[in-house]
Amino acid sequence: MVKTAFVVIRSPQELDASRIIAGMSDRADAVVILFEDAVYNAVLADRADGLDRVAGDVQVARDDLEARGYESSDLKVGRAVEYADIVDTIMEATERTVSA
Amino acid sequence: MAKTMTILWRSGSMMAMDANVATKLAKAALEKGYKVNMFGYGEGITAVKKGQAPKRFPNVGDELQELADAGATISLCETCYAARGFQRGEEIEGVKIGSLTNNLFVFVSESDRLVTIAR
Repeated sequence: MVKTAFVVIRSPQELDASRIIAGMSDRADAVVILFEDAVYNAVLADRADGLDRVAGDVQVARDDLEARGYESSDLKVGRAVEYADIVDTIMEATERTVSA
Repeated sequence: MAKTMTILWRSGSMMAMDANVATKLAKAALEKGYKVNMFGYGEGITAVKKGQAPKRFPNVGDELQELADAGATISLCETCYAARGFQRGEEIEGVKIGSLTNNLFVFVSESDRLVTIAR
């Protein structure tokens, strides 16, 4: 399977990205990158569980997380990363990018 | 030769942070030494308007100008631009009024990664 970076910007209320991810990738090959209101997926327990089931790595844009009043300690899944780390993930650690 | 990232954005300059995510990602990629192309279409073209003054919000026009000055290749859809009543010359310096066929497809064909920031 192709190692894939899934870019998600919409909130959990707008989109359940886990179904797209599960349909396109194995868990081991799926890296989810959460921007903007998509970061709420990582702080809401039920959505976080859903992402954890389909993605081996969940990366949350720290700036977007903190802009919304959350910190790394609030994350129920994944880890807070910088935009530079996200570039590494897209350009080097994965082979294709899918915007969900 | 440096790898290339193309970022496609489609949301307007206000109402969502999509365009700002696109510029922040582009900036981070440039700083890491990658070549960066950006293409705006749909409401995305509003982000290149000269003279934006969003007061308490990030100025995406300034951010795009800085990226163009730093070497990013930025283009946008002429059809979308004209459809919204923009005239050539209203865009920031260094942005090319282009087209899907002449610019976006070239960007995509020469890129290692394509990132779409749109909803």
